[in-house]
Amino acid sequence: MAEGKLNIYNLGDVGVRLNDSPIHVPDGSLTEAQNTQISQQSGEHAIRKRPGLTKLTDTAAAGRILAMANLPFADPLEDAYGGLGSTMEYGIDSVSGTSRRSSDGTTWAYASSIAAADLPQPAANGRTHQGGYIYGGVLYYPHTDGSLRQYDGVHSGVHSTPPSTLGGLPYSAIHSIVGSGSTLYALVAYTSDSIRFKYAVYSCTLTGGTWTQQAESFDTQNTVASGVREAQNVDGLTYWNSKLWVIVHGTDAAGPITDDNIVVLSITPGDTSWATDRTVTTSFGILGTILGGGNVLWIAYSLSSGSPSNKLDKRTTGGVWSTVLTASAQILPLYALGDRLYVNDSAVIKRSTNAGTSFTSFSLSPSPSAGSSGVRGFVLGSTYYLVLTSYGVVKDDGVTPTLVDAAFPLAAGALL
Amino acid sequence: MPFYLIHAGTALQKASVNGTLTTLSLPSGVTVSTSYPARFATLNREVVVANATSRNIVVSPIDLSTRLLSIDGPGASVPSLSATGTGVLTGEYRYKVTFLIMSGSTVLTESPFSSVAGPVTTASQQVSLTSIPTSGTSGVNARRIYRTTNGGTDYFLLTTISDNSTTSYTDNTSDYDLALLPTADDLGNPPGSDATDRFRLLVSWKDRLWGSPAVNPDRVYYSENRKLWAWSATNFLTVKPVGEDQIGVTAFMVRRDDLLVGKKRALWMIRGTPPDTIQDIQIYEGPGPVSQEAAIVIQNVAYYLGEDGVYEVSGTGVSRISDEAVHPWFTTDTYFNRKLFSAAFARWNPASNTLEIHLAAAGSSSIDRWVSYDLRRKIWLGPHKTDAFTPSMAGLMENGLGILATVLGSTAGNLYRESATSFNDDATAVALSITTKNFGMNTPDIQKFYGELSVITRVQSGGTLTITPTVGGLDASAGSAISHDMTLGRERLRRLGAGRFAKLQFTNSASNQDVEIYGFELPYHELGRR
Repeated sequence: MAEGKLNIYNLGDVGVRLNDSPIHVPDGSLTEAQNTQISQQSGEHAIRKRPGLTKLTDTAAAGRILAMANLPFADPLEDAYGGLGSTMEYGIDSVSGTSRRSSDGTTWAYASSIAAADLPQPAANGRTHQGGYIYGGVLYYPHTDGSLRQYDGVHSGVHSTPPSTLGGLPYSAIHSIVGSGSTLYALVAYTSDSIRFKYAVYSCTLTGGTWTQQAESFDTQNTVASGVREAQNVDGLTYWNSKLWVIVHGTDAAGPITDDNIVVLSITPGDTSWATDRTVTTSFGILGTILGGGNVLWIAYSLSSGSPSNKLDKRTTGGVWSTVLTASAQILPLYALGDRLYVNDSAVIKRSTNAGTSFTSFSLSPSPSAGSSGVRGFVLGSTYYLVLTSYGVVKDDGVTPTLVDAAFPLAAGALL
Repeated sequence: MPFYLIHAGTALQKASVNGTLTTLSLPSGVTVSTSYPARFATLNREVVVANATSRNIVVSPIDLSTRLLSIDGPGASVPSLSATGTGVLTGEYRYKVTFLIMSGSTVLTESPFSSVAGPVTTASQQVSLTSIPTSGTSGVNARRIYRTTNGGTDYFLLTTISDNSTTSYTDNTSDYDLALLPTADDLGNPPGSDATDRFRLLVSWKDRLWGSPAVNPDRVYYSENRKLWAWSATNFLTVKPVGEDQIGVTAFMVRRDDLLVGKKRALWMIRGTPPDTIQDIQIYEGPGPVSQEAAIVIQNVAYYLGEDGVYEVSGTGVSRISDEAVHPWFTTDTYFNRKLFSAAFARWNPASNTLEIHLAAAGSSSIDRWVSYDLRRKIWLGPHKTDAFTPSMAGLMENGLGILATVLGSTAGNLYRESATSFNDDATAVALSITTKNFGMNTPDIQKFYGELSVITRVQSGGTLTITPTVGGLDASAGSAISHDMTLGRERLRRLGAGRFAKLQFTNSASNQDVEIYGFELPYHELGRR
């Protein structure tokens, strides 16, 4: 009787074969190969278990996922200093240093790409929130010479120059900058003394060029001019839900201000008149910040009377306003990324990942001051980082924020 | 890092490479359907979304803002014309008006033309235009006026009014100056601009968008060059046969310089450049793609699921690559629910260089299985499954190293990416099951005794591989299982016993357990004919 030995070492060569009859199918064939693959690394001719599929995040999307598109553009919500050549970089001060840079969130070094002399200075008068703004992987920041500078992580230079005067008043400062599509929008302050202000929102393209005023300017109190929109202060510009939004303190569409209310106004770029979206009646309020993120527009403000007097409110895309947080001291929004928001509430960092439905508190040691209004955050890899003025950089690893760069507090007039 | 747009439930969301999700705000009145998958097409650094959205919309990848792709035009509202003063115009002139949304000098969208205003007759005069229509559409911030030359029928851009309020304009532009400009593109709103129709399919190809609508499903419309808002009503091709089913065009596949257009039982190719050299050619008479999601181009070769198998379209023509080995997967009801072939979807797995096609198991109403085709070795593996979730979508996503990795979406709304280190589907073990052929040693009529099986596997730090032999006739039952210690690498196991055939099943469902089988040896001797 014949004998022999079957040697099968080609399980990865033939694969599943179902066409042949059971006695005609060649050796090495399989009738089933569930969850297998041929290893691409030193595994030719063998067969192995396929790798696993790992859930990217525990947060589910809005429902069954039906389609996906790959967009080969910079992630706009990487905000990012991560967009500057895969590094994070924030300004220190205008005298002693230049800026701090890290590529891993742990090791920080001085960066000299933006010279100290180029860092923005506080304005002599008026509002001094001269913030840098990251958009499309480029940092835009106002310079003391009146120009808007740009920095892509390697090179810096003049981007454009805002109009030198508005209604006869000289340029003072760029209050804030936002971007949408191929356009930058900036809230610009003009002032000649401590009580005469004008604010206007301007647009210019990402490639520079002429600045174009958007809608009416705001004349602040005591610059009485009938027929001109007035406001006591304009404190914040954001782009959200295809509109530009500002928060102002007391406004009247045509002439002297008749109230001290806190008012949220919006325009669709190209429109000529601001539209009132919300008015908070108060005898005198302190404005905070307006910030758009994901499906939510946030405002923080303080009222002169009533309890609670310090509030964080949100607006849905459907136009519904609600208060999501109250406090004994002024609440300062720090950073919004999508529906994730960080605020500084009486020196405690609070985070919401569900559009303000609930907040998780994080106590930092040493505690940041109540006025430590870090204005920016950024993402590097999968970690969120917050920058708190006079405190440093805080890494939020999803569990507990960790201090990573507190030895280098930001000075007054810092870039961020 | 790039990012991703996903259609999830009734929302469009942005997903970062680490899975962070952000819901996009949609233009007022626009809703997202759960019945139709979104179609995405990128042109001019903007993303057009159709099919799932109640209107075609545009997403800016720079800030995730959204807007309608199209806006209504002035329609029959046209300027009043009168000859006036002294000027350079002599003859007969006609005008049209459009509405625009612009960002700086960039046109975001332009409406269809108004009806024709005029003619107005002049003799060395100017033309006064009054009552120029304004738009009630939010965001319109410019208008354009177009004009003919004397007695002409082509329209040229006369001027752009950079507001939505000015209602008068005086024209004193000579025919010579006007005709230095190119003739105006044919403007128009595409299907999906209102609720009467939608683009079922949409793709970007040769600097234009190409779409097939629901109302005329045998047609393929195309936009003007790099103008995603300009769709002339006459810019379409008809893919035959016409009107023979309600499905029409089933899939687009961009392959090199061609746009492949599938129908259920034919495959066409569009070549050339509109308007002069564009043509559609039938390249295959036979089963075409049944699902846009199961039609994919990998390295210059198109693959699609047809009603009777998987097809390959390469430089050598169209062929059915499932014929030789796994034809029964696609032509019987034993393995898959063929009614759900139209819901199948495909992906390329760069790590294993495989085409993977997701299907519903026989009797299942979910897309809960997939098969893979090794593109280099040209062999099939599967059917595969996961016990962790039900896949609902497949695609590619960069990992933290910027390298493409296969990704699946689930019916529960989660994204899963293939791991480089884990053998679990999230927290659930991957269940390996390999079944060999029936080995008859070329003597299927002879009874044999199968001796001690030896197995050689990759040495692991732990774990066992379960081997279940079946020895006997072709209808024999499985025998008792054998356990192979994978820390040994090679192990000699028990005798398998007597029978005409022997086959082996290798299984492992241990958590995070790697398994790699190099081969096995099985001694035998013939017992004779029984």
